[in-house]
Amino acid sequence: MNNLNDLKRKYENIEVPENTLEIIEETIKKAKHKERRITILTNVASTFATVILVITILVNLSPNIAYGLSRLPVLGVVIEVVTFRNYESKDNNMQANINIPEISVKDEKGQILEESTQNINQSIEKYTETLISRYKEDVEASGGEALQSVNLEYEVITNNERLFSIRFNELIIMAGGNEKVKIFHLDKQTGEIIILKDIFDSNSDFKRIVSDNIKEQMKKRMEEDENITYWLDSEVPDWDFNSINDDTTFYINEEGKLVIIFDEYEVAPGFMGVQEFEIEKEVIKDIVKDGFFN
Amino acid sequence: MNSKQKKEYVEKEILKSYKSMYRLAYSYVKNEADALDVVQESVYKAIRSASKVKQIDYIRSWLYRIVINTSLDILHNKTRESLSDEIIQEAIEDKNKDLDLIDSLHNLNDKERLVIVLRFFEDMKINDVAEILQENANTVKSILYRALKKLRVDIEKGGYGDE
Repeated sequence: MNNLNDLKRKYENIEVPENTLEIIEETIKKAKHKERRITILTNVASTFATVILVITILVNLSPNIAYGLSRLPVLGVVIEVVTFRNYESKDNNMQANINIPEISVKDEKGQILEESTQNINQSIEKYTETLISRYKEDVEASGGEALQSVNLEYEVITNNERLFSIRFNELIIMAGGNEKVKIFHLDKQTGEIIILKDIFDSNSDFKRIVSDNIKEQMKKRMEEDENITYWLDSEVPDWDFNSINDDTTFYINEEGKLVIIFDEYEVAPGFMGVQEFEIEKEVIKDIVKDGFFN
Repeated sequence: MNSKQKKEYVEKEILKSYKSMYRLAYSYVKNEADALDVVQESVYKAIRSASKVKQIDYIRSWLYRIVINTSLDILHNKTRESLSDEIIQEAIEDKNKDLDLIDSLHNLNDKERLVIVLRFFEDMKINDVAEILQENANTVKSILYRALKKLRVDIEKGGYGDE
């Protein structure tokens, strides 16, 4: 006869491997991570993913500053969209409609500023080419059987003496995808494309200052609306927003304020979409270089 | 209880009863490597579907049910696979030598073994066992009785009803 207590003792003596807890903790982490991804993908699949691309040309008003050589006065620079090309494609269930604007930068006499014009158009083309080739790859990979629709439209959102901004709305309908905002900045003083760190004094602590301000804004938004979630002090510290980088996406809005942009998924769950944070002038006034802000 | 809370409860319960989950899995798959696989996959499933939990009281039962289903899945897949050298090696190397327990439990069918394990080894109440098996309490009692008979356990000593 077996004794139940003996059996129980034997059962309890089944040795649980030492590393089991470790494996479990790792798995819990993975599952949470994965769940987040899955939620995101579901959301993307059912909604339009809006991607905003803003191409900004900073026109500097300082009289001794001109693009290229000083032969060209900057005042009165005219930037406009002169024409556009259209890429259209339809492959079974997949379609793309991508509008590619062509921009001209002229001085006040109507002379085209070649290098500046070329620079901005190349930047735009590089971006749209990426979009088109990605679409083509997807068509090839699926034989056109995947459900996908890519539409790119543009709109000039700012065109004043100081700033020219063209915004691209990229609408992608498909299952999945992690879209990015891309912004090109052309510094008219040097003719070079610049990134975030270039607008701050080189020895300044701009990353910490701006990041702290963004964290405050995140907390405030979450307090005010329970539907808003940012990855801040969350259960997966690896995912939390920590700091901006040298090349974090930004633009300068009509009020002359710095706006920091985060891609979808970068600081928040996918349903939150692209996130923008306006930084008050007061916060960064001591560390920005002259000429970039009003 | 919102889904975030549910996930926290599930996580807590996993960390509390992972040894039981492992042993339960072991009683099915009978080797360490597979038991670990089962536990890992179950944990993964549990966290991912934590929002489906209706009541906190049922989290433990629900976890065990996941472990059981996962064990059965692995067993079914195994019978379809031919035994690779690797698996044979794992079986040989298995540290657990207490095979007579496994042997005696082996004479039971899945449900009978489960009832024995949950009721006596995990000290669960008949009603909770019934919840896991999704049977009514009386059915569980009769399964238990049959299992004990098969095990030739001294029923007088063991007892099989609720406390």
